[in-house]
Amino acid sequence: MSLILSSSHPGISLQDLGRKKGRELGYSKGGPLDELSYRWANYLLGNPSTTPVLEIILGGVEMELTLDAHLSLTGADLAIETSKGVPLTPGKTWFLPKGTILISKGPRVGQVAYIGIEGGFKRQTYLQSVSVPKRERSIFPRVNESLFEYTESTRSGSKMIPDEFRFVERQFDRVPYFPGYQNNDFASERIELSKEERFDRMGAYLSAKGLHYKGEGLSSEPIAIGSLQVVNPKKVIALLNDCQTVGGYPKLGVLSAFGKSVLVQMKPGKKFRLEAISPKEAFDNYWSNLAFLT
Amino acid sequence: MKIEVSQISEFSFLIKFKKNVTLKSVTSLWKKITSDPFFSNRIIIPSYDSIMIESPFYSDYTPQKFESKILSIVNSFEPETIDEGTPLLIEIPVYYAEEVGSDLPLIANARKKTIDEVIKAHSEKIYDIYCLGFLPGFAYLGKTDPLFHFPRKEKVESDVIAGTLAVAEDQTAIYSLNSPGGWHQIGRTPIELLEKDGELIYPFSIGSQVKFNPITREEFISLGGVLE
Repeated sequence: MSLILSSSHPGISLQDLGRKKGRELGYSKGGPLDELSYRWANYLLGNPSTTPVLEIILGGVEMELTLDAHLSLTGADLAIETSKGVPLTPGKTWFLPKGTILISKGPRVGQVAYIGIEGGFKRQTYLQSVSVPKRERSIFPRVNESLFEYTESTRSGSKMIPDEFRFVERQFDRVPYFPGYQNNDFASERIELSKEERFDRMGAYLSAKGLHYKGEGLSSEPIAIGSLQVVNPKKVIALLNDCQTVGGYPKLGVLSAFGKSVLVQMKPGKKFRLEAISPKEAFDNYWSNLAFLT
Repeated sequence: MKIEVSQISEFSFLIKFKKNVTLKSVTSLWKKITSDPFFSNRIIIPSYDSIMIESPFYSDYTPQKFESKILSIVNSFEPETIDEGTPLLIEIPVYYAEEVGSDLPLIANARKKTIDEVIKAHSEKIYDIYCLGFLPGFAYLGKTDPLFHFPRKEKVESDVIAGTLAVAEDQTAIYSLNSPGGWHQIGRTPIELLEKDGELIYPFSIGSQVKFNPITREEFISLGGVLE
């Protein structure tokens, strides 16, 4: 009846597009860190875009399919193969018989992978979403993040992401963001950033050079997902889907949805700059890269 | 009153009060927005001097239409004409003691007060809810008596117990979940703030008010309080 992990894994969770309510009470949004790869996982299978998908951060896990499964694998290449040594390359669909054991050894390219399944994984929703951030697990004790139920697949097929839409393998020296919040209060011409090892569903830590905040102290203000929060002149945290809802650190702005996908898949140590885009560009970018995947 | 509206992401707008912001202003505008049918399925997060409105992936969304609607509300907003009525008062029992509020002696010593005087100063006030966040059900309350005005601790404690009442700067709050925290701890409520499956026990909302009622150790335990 399910996909079962051999042991619980902090980087594995079920995600849909996140909560549509509750954030005014302090509940995190949830949802996929890399929305682009999440949407492809459903699109390849013909699932609606809100269908729950398994998110795997960094890999290093073993899982068993207890029913025949028509599944998609998108996002990072986490070196996933069957126990018989058949590699599952990302960006396409697979039909796997019940009893198949999948082993992920760890990231080769990218950091976050998605496994979609025909018809989707099933779970009760809370706050209109299957997503339950780790820090809220005590509130939702019935959520099991090591057993993911699905319905047996009866059809197979093979679909792939076209080459022009594959971005995880590409090297990005610029990450698009939307200047906002206190952006005008930073005296900096060239901000150099580098992704650190520390990375989870709440945030990605970035080393910074060239940041000087000249504004005043702030009251806590609402946080948009993808906000670039400046903790000190050498440290920026890109706030991700399970972050807190308000915060009082100054912010450079907000990563675009595509920029967030690029950042979370980026290898630690990679240096990059931010590329400012306008509201129109950001929105057009969203529709051209993401929204058509419905 | 100067209010700025800016688009901060593909789907989010920030309304920022630039000068002379009051809790009443933010609460009034937040209520005006939430009562408008156009925003009935949107995410609206209020805070001290700002309100964020986000549209969660609806096909009818365009930034232009969204911004136009926000501006029409903001531009016609006159907070002084709004009568909010009497705010909701929420009363919460708290056991103030060193065994559940390890920083009580520090505050008393620093201010040259007795523990009882510190407890009285904290519990006799009625606090306004300025915003919710940090954790689900974590309400930022203010403003505290100046004797509680300490900066956050330099070293964050890794596991503050759910129900702990704490102070920092001019604010006070109850940790709704076990969590890391850097505020100064002065007591604990035996009441869980969150039900299993996510409902808030108390109807916390910006503009409502909270009063803490001191209880004894025996009352704390009889109400289900856990000492450690």
